[in-house]
Parts: sequence; C-alpha cells; structure tokens
Amino acid sequence: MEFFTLQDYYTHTKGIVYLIMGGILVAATLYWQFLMGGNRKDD
Amino acid sequence: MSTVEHASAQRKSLFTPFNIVAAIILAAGLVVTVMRFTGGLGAVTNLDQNNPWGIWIGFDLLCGVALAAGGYTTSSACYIFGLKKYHAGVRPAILTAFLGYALVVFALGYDVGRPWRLPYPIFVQQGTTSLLFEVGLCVMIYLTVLFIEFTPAAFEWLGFKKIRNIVVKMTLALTIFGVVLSTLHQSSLGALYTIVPSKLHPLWYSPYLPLFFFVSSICAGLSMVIFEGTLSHKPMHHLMDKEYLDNHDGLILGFGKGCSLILFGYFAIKVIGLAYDNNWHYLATGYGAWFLVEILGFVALPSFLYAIGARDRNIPLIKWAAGLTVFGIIVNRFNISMVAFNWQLPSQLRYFPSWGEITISLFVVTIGVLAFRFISTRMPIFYEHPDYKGEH
Amino acid sequence: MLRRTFLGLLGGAGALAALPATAGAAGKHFGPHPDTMAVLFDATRCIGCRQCEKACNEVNNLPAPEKPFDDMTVMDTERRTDDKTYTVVNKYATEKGGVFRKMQCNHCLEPACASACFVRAFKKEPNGAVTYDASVCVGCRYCMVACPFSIPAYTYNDPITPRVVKCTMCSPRLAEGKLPGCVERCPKEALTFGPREEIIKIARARIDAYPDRYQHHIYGEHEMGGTCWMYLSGAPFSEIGMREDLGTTSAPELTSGALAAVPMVVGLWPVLLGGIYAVSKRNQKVANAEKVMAVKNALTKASSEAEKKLSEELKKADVANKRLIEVEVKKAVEEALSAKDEDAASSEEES
Repeated sequence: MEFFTLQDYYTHTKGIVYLIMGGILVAATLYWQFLMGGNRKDD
Repeated sequence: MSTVEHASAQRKSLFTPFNIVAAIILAAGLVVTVMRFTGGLGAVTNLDQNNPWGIWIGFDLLCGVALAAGGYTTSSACYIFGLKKYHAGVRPAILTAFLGYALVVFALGYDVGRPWRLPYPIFVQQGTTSLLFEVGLCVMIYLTVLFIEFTPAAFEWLGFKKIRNIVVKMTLALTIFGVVLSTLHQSSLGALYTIVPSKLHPLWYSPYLPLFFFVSSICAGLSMVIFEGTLSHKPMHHLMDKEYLDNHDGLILGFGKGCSLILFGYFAIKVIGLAYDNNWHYLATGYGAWFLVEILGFVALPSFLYAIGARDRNIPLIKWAAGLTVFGIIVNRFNISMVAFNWQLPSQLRYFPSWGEITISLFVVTIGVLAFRFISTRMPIFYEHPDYKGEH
Repeated sequence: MLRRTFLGLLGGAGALAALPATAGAAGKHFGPHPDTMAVLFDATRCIGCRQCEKACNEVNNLPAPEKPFDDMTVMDTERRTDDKTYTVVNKYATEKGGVFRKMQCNHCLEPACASACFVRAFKKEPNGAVTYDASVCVGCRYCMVACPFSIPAYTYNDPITPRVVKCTMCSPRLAEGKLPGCVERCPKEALTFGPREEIIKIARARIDAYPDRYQHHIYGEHEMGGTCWMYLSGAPFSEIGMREDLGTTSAPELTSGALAAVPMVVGLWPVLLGGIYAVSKRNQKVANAEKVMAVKNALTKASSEAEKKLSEELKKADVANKRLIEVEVKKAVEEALSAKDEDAASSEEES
C-alpha cells in the first residue's frame, strides 16, 4: 500500500494498533487467569 | 425502620429550598433545550467561527471527566493497592463517576451539531489519528465499565443474588480496565490541545499536556471524593452505616496525604514544562501572573494545606484543601480551553459564555445531583446490604 | 504508604510513556502526491476588486452576501471566512502602503483538520484539494479548533443539518478540467494555478527577478508541513495578517507523540497494575500468616509459662508442706521432751 501523506499512513497504522489494543486487553485477562490458575498449593 | 420514616418525611417536605432551586434550574434548562434543538447552536450559544468550543466543552466535558476521576482512583486504591479500609468509599465514588460520565455524554448531545451521529466515529468511520477518537472510544467503553461496576448495588437492591455475585467476581478485571481507560482518556483530553501550539498560550501549551491532565485528574479524583463525602455527609447521614462512618476520617486522612504528594508531583512537572519550552519570560506578563496564581494558589497551596492537615490530623483543613484543589482543576481546564485559547485574537473576538450555555451547564449538574440523591437514598451506596455484610 | 508510593509510580510510568515525542514515521518520508496542484497568490498584483469572491460565490452556489461584491466598504474591517463565504479579500495598511490579501483554505499537505477529525470527514485528494464529507460529520468542530489558519466555519444556526463550510479548491471543477473559480476570474493574474512543484519554481523565479519587490519567502512552501495555496508578498507577511510563528511541523507530527503513548498504556498498565495487585495481595497474605503465627507463639509461650509457674507453685507448696511437717514434728518432740522435764521436776519436788 502506498501512502502519499503522513496522515493517511497514520490512519492506517493506528487503525491496526487499535485492533491490537483490543486484542491485548482480552489476551491480558485470559493470560492472567492462566497464570494465576495453576497449582494452588503455593501462590 | 428509620429510613422509611425519613423517606416519608422527605415526601412531606418537598418544598425545601434545595428542591425549589433545582426545579427552577430544570425548568430553565428545558426551555433552553427546546431553543437549542429548534434554533441550532447559534440560538443559545456565544460560539462563533473563531471560538468553536465554549463552556460545554471546557466545563461539561473537561471538568466533568476530571472530577469524575474519583471512580478509578478510589476503586484502584481499594482493589488493586489492597487498601481495604477504603472499601466503604468505593460505592459512592463509583456512583459519582458513573453519573459524571453519563452526564458528560448527555451534555455532548447539546454541544455537537448532530448528536444522533455520536456513535459514527466508532461504528461508521474511524478517524484513528484523532485524539478525540481516542477520547470518544475510551469514554464509551469506560461508561460501560462504570455501569457494570455500579450494578451490584442495583442488584442487591432488587435482590438478584446470582448475577450480583457474578459481577462482583469481575471486580479486579473491571478495576484494571477502568484505570487503563481512565489513563488514556484523561490524558487524551489534554492531548487534544497538542495540535494547536499556535492558538494556546505557550504557558499552557506543552508536549507534556497529556501527562498534566492525567496527573491532575488523580488529584481531582481524590479531592472530589473528600469534597463530595463532606457534602453528602449531612443530608445522607442517616443512610451511612457504621463501616462508612468509622472509616470516613481515615479515608479523608489517607486521601489527603496521597493527594498532597501527587499535587507536589504535579507542581514539579508543571515547572519542568515551563523549563522544557523555555517559557520563563512569559511569567512577567499578565498571562504569566495568572499562570502563577494557578500553579501557586491552586496547586502548591492545596498540596501544603493537605500536608499540614494530614500531619495535624486536622480534618476540616483537609476538606478545605480538597475544595481548593477541585476549584483549581476547574480553573486549569478553563484556562486551557478558554482563557489561554485563542489568546492571539483581539479582545473583541474572544469568547464569553452566554446565559443559555451557563443554564445548560447548571441543568446538567442539577440532574447529576438529583440522580445521585435518588439512587443513594434507595440503593446500598453508603451502607452495606445486610445480606452481603463484610464480604470483601 | 503503599498506595502513595504506587500512585507516584503511575505518574512516573506515564512520563516514560510520553517520551517518544517524535516516534512518528521513523524516517519515512511521505511526499505530496505527484498530481498535487497548487495556487500562488501574489499580493503585489492583487488590486482588491473582490472578483474572486464573487466568482467563488457563484460557482459554489453560496447564499448571496449582505452587501454586494462591488461594495468596497466591507474592506474597512478585517473579515474571515464564515458559513456563507469560502474566501475573502482583506486590506492591510503596511509599510508598503495598502496591500490586499486573499484568504481561503490553504489545502495543507498534511491537513490539521483531517488529522483532528474523528470520523475522517476530511480527505486529502490526489489533486491536492482537502475535501469535506458532511454525510458523516458529527459536528464536534475539533477541525475548527485544530486549523492553524482558522479557516473552517460552521453553520451554527442550522438545527438539523449543520455542517462545516470551507473552500474545496473547486475540486469538482478540477475533475472537469476547469480552473478554480477564483483563479479563472482574477483580472490581474494575481492567482496562478499549476502543479505544486511548478508553482514553487514560478514563485522563486519572481523573487529572483524582482528581489526588491518581494519578501524572500514563499509563504506556504513549508508552513505547517507545506500548503497547496502559497503566497508572495512585498510587505512582511505578519503585516498582511499572516502568522509567521506557525513553524514547519505538520499537524500529524504534533500529535504523534501523544498517540504513540496510547498503545503503550494498554500494553503495560495491566501488567503494572496486575503486578501491584499480586504484590499487595501477597504482602497481605504474609502479614496475615505472620499475625496467625504470632498469636500462636504467644499462646504457646503463655501456656508454657503457666505450666512452669504451676510446677513452681507445686514445688513451693511441697517445700512449705515439708517444712510444716518438720515444724510440727519438732513441736511435738519439743512438747514431749518438756513434758518429760516437767514430770522429772515434779517428781523431784514430790520426793
């Protein structure tokens, strides 16, 4: 994809970053549960 | 019981001075509302081609969001930092925050030209390079988070045990989401102005604007919890349970101490901002004097008063410091959005709010106070529901 | 104590996140589109006839003005673009006498309005025009706040379909191969239309040819990252109402630092806050365990002490008992002996 303005380039990259941010929030929740959900003998 | 007796007493004395003033404001607000949506923005506001943003942005949005920061500061103190003794303060703070954000969105309905299109930036076409997109997205999600955080009170009131317990289990995740979203949109409100170095006075323009807004929002949140606790103490006293009352002074002392330290940090970064852009020479101008009033009178002074109050365990002094801090945050947001904005324009082209704009702002605040009173006199806000006592 | 320390930490981490102020495009360069057109306004040629204003009004079907276009008294006060006007010509008193200057959207190479708009209602077209799409506009007016030239206007008195109003560089006419309305109408060739690179060459050639007549600066070549509408003037630009303090940093660059910090917060805040939660919970647990242990120790200590005391008491009691018996025995013996003595004495007396 070719961009002729910094503005268009940022619109594109920030759009992807926003999607990743949503993914991170979901992933962080799930990963926390994975991390904290192991053997409960010693947490 | 006593609450019931009181409620009936309240019904009898409907014509209290407070209620009469509130009714007048509501009536005036409805009139202006009709004018606004039939005649357009021009019919009720002093906005013009040079001054597109007035107090509906400067007060309703910027101050509203900053002063609703008590929600994330209190809930994170209790649930993330493990300060369980502040637990009794969480529900009033969450309710205030939820109402605050709901009213911010409500007030935006007056300010934007076509309010029915407010979901467009999120669902129709995303302007991802705009800081306002960031603000809108965060405010929308955070309003949802606050609503969910508030629901346990409503569910306890309605007796929905199962769903209440499910929501309570999500407390930690909701709190962390709340802090993430608050950090983002509080700072992005400041970042809105990073695009206008040519219109905002150099003393207030800074690349650190997002950080200034975020740090000052913590001060605003903590102070607002103290300030509002003071306000609701008398009229709501009969509703407050032993836990709330026993911990109230401890909360005021703890929050006062914390706020003193953060205000110190805020003062420090404001001075750094001054040095970073080499703006010292502006201090000798009229704007400079006003800037000094802001950072000395409304940042350094309350920080010091808080410290004295915390050292001497002087609760009234801490309450005064909280009021001063809240006022100072409003001064700061007004300076950035109005006083120091468009400073390059001659005075006859500058903005001053119209009566219609002031009426709507009062209208919105009044709705907030009434809604808070309505909910907190019915739902378990200042006391723990007997079925769920000591469960935290 | 804990909370204060950590809230301080929050601020510190925020400062770190705000640091990459120019994280932007990391050395990438985005030139204007090769088809970008531009207009040169030469203030030394403009005679303030307002024909451009009139042409603009006609080709864009704008509402009729209050005063007709041949009324020159409107120039007594400085005007700006508004909801009925895409362009105005103002008159300025300068060191070189009265100078006219046309004002309209400058069609930035990196438009601030487009950068600020949260619904992408503004678009930088390949031909250079910055166009506006009212069909998605919410009416937040952030574009008006953001525009360094204060060009966009708003139809404040329209309750149902208010919208932003600004010059389109006659983009529809350009598509038909026509000139912008104002350029076509100008009787003095104060406006020159062409590819942006050519326009800059023409401007430079004029300055070179008449170095005494012109300021040696093409306004708009670099201002705010460069514009499609550029200006030549004899008088200093600040004297004809043009700001010389705007700098060359484009709008998207101004906000790139703040935008770059946003995803960092999302990525790291859950880690930081989750960590703080885990640490404070762990501390609480340790503190609780210590408390339990302390209570237990105190209890054991107390009970062992009690036992010791009891046995000591018992021992003491034992000793006391023994002594009592001894005393009793002694007493009995002594009594018995004294009785014997008395008996002896009395028998002696008796005998």
